[in-house]
Formats: sequence, C-alpha cells, structure tokens
Amino acid sequence: MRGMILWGLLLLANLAVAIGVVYVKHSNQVVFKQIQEQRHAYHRLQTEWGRLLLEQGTLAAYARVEQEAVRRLRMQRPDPSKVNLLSP
Amino acid sequence: MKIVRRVFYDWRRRLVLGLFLLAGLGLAGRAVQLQYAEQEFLTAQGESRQLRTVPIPASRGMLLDRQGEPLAISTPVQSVWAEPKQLIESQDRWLELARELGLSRLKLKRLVLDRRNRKFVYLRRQVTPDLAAKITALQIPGVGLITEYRRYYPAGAVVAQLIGGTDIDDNGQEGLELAFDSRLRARPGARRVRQDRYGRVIDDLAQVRPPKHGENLRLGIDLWLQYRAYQELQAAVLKHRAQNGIAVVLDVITGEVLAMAQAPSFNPNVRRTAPSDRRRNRAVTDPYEPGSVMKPFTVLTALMTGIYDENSRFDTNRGKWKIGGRLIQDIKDFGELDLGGVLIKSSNVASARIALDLPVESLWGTLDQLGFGQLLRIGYPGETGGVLREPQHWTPVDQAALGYGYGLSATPLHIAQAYMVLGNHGVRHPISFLADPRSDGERVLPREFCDAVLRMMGKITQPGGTAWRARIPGYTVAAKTGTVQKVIDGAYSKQHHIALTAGVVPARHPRLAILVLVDSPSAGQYYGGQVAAPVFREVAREALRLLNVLPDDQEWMSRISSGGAG
Repeated sequence: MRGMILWGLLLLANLAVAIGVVYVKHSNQVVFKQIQEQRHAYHRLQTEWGRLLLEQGTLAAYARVEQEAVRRLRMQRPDPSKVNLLSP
Repeated sequence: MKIVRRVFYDWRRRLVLGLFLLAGLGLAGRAVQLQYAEQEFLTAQGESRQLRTVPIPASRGMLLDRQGEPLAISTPVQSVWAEPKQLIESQDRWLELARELGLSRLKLKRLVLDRRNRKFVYLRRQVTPDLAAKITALQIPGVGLITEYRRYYPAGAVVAQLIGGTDIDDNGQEGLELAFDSRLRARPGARRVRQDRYGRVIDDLAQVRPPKHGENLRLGIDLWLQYRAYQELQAAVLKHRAQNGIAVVLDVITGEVLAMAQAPSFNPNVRRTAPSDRRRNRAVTDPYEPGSVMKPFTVLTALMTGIYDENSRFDTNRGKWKIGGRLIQDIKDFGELDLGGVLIKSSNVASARIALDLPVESLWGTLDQLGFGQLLRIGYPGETGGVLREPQHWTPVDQAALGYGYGLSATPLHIAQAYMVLGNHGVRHPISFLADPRSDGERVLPREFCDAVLRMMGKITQPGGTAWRARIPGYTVAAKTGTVQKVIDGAYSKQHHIALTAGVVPARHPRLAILVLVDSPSAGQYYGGQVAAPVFREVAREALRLLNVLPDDQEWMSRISSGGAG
C-alpha cells in the first residue's frame, strides 16, 4: 500500500516536471522572440541614427551655417571698433 | 465441426500476432540503432544543418572634436553574402538575384562556383537599405545579410588629411585613424545559434565571445577653428594661385593641436579618388626649409650666450655680405640695426653675422632643444624629423645660413612647436592630438630670454615691421614672417617661393602658437608678410575669440574707452 502511494507521488511529480519543461521551453521561445525583435529594433535604430547623423552633418555643416547666416539672415562679423568691452 | 474450425483459425491468429511481434521488435531494434549506434553521426549531421556561429557586430570608435562634434563615425550598413553550397542548389533563382545585385548572371556564377568549398562569400558589400530590403524579400536559401560598418566623415574636406581614413573592413589606413587604430578598433563578438531551414535564427545557444566596441576619442581639434583656418587657406591659395597652404594652431600651455588644416583638400567620404599628394598630411610629413621664421631663435641664442644684449647694434653692410663664395642679401640697405631691429626688418646680413659670432654648440643646442632634426614622437604615420646637421660638420657658410633659417629642414609642425615653446616661456609640452593631455612639461629654455624675444617680436607687427598685416585690433601679436626660395633642380629659385608667418598671441601672455605656410604663390605677391600674414591674422582672431581671451592691447583699449563706448 505504501509502495503504491510512493509510486503514485513519483508519477505525479514526473508529470509536473514534464509540464514544467514544456512551460519553460515555451516561455524561452516567447522571450527569445522578444529579444530578436529588440535586436531588430536596435539595428533599425542604429541605421536610423547613422542616417540622422549624416543629415545633421549636411545641414549643420559650418559652410552652410555661415552661408545661411550671411545671405538669409544678413548677419555679419562685428567690426572691432563697434565692440564694447565690459571690464569685470 | 465447431472445434475443427477453432483449430483452423488458431494458427492464423498466431501467425498474425507473430508478425506483429516481429514488426515491433524491428521497430525497437531500429530505435536502438538510431539512439545508440548512429546517434553521434546523426546529431553531427543535424547540427551541421542547424547550428551556426554568427558574428555579433561591433562598431569602431568615434573621433570627436574637443566640443564633442563627430569627425569620424561608423554607421551600420548591410552587406549581401551567400553560403555557396546552399546557393548552388537553387540555381533557378540566380538570374533574379544577379539582377538585384547589379551583376551579370555569369559573374555571379563565377563568384559562387570559384568559392564552392567556402562557407562564406560576399556577393556585394555595403549596399543601400533599399537594396537590403529587396534581397530579404527574395527569400533565396543560402543568401543572407550581414551588418558591417562604414566610416563616415561629417566634416568632409575640412579635416580630411589629419584624420586620414580606413579600408573597407574599417581598419585604420592613414592619418589619425591609423595612429590610434589599436584604441579605435572594434572586435566583433560571436554567438552560437540554431537556425531553421530558411536561415532564420530560432534559438540562442551561447555567446562564444562578447563584442568589443572601439573607444571614442576626443581630439584637441576645434572643428570651428579648423573650418575657419581651412576657409582662409583655401581663399589664399586661390587668390595667390599657390600649390597648397598649411595652417597649424597649437595651445601653448597644453601642447594640444587645436587646428591643422590644409588646402586644397579632398572629400574623404568618396573612396580613393583624390590624388595622393592631396591626401598626405603635409604639416607632419613634409620637411621645408624654414627661412626667416628661424631668426627669433638666432636672436634668442645670442641673448643666452651673453655675447649680445638688446642694445647691441649691428652694421648691415649696405645690405650685402659675401661669405665663402655665397652672397647674403637684404631686400634693401637697413643701415645700422639693434637686436630688435634685426627681427623687425628681417635682416639676413645681421642674422648671419650674429650666427657666425656664436659658439657653434650654442646655436645647435637651442635648435636641438626646440626639437628640430628629431622625430616629434607623436606616433603619426609618415612623420618626418627634418634635418639638422651636427655642429662638427658645419662650415662657416653653413653656420651663417642657419642664422636666417637656411641649411636645415623642418615640418610645419616642428616650426609651430618651436614657437609654442617660445610662447610658453621656454617650457616644452609634448604635442598632443588628443584633448586634455596630462604632462608636466620640461623647461628647455630660460624664461627671461624667451620673454625678451617675445617683446621684440611684438614690434614686428607694428607699423614698419614686416608682419604688420598680422596685426589684430585689441591684441598684442608676436609674429615673424618668412619668404623662402625653393630649391628647384638643386639651386635656389628666384621664381618659386614659400611664404610663411609664425607667431604667438597674445604677445604678453601667449595662449596660441600659429603657423601659416603657403607654397608657391604665383600671382605676383609672394612675401610671407603679403601672402601668409593675413591668413595668420584671421585664424588668430578667430582662435582668440573662441578661447575667450581678453583684449590686452592697452593702447587700443584706452582709445576705445575714450571713444565714448558705453
């Protein structure tokens, strides 16, 4: 009788562990899918970042900034004689 | 009757059961064979189809300017690759693949078949994101994309020579990219993965090696100052129809290189199209005969030896002096000059006479301490040390010529370094391309004589001095000009010159050492004071503004305040 109970318990434990393995395997796959998605996102963002840097490099190139300042905004370097020095 | 029938069916039943038993045993046997006997072989076969070691990409470090503006960035791009064995199995799709890649079918075939025993072959490197998406959509077994990095230089031509470049695998090839390659270099990691039959990763097994990203390095360069120097040089090269122009700006106190520009330049983002003589960083690799910009060091040595002082007077011999068959000339007869006057008028005759009066070892000693004739030990690829002969080999003619800067050669960086030491009151810091270097500096020249020479040089930029065009309103400027005859076919040429201006600002408490060199101006003007000094002035003015240096010219300030500024 006691042997039977022991066998039964072991069988139940075995079943539980088997289901556990299936569950862990499944959650592993879910998490793996997430990490793959994140990797793709990382890569996409990296590419995007590279593209934005290029864009910034073009738009904020000093040559262009200077041209915009002088031509469009009509800015100019102050003549030294028009500079006031405030002594501290 | 009944009994007979039962006997009849009984052996048939046994036969069927026996066959079932046999089949069962056969299956069990096969299972044992697969599980135990052939297991190793089968696992290996399965894994060779499923398991892959794939690289984890790592990016090369960035080069930044001192404000953090990027000068060199590695951005990810896709490259198309194939596993030849698998690709050979799907020959029916080669035509569409070749069309997308912009190859002929024949070329693709050769590419794959020639490398049929390899596991990896590049089909096309560094493709556009559009093309990468199309290749993915084709879903051809054995064709994949791999992430690589492409170097991009946002500042373009402005710092092209100094930064140098990398090859297609992102290894440093030239310039600072090569000098700091070991720190910038990335080492891709590797991981073991399980793939399905389309090559999609379905499981991560282990990280074989972690990726190591390159280190980001902050340079001493200030991109804005560099840009201004480049613009001014380019304008000067164009205006004077010169071969090229070089500007170097050093921080006198730290030894940092704040700008190192060269015109004409090239676009470093276009691979291998610029001629090599535009790619070379001449400020470090090309030796020039420095000429008159060396005169302050002759005067400095004269003061150090005590043979002359600031009040000594020199007869310039009507502007002509012959020594050992060589005629030394001034541009005109300056009569009698004091030591400062020698610099202000840039008299060759007086400089030669002073040099000849000095003990040989003393002039050599000064130049040696300033770093002439030696490598700068900055680890820059292709750097040259220039030539400064040992004093044992000097003839009187050599010694006299050294007095006004002939008979030795130095790179623009050497000359800038010498002015940097002078400007730092005789203390020499190692030149550094990186920002915020830590060094104690080493005293190589006595302070009082450096300061005396700086005071004299401050007068060269006053009206009547050769460097008056280097004057900046509001600041004291110590600068010396030079006009060097180039050696063409072994003789000094009267048509080909190098125009230089070197100096430190502000003259009283120097912060910056600046050198401007324009090679072969050929539009009429060729004197250092005409060609190089205006560039010097613009670069110096911008640098002073950037460093927030207060104006120190007392005379100018009193004039401004009396002008009713409020």
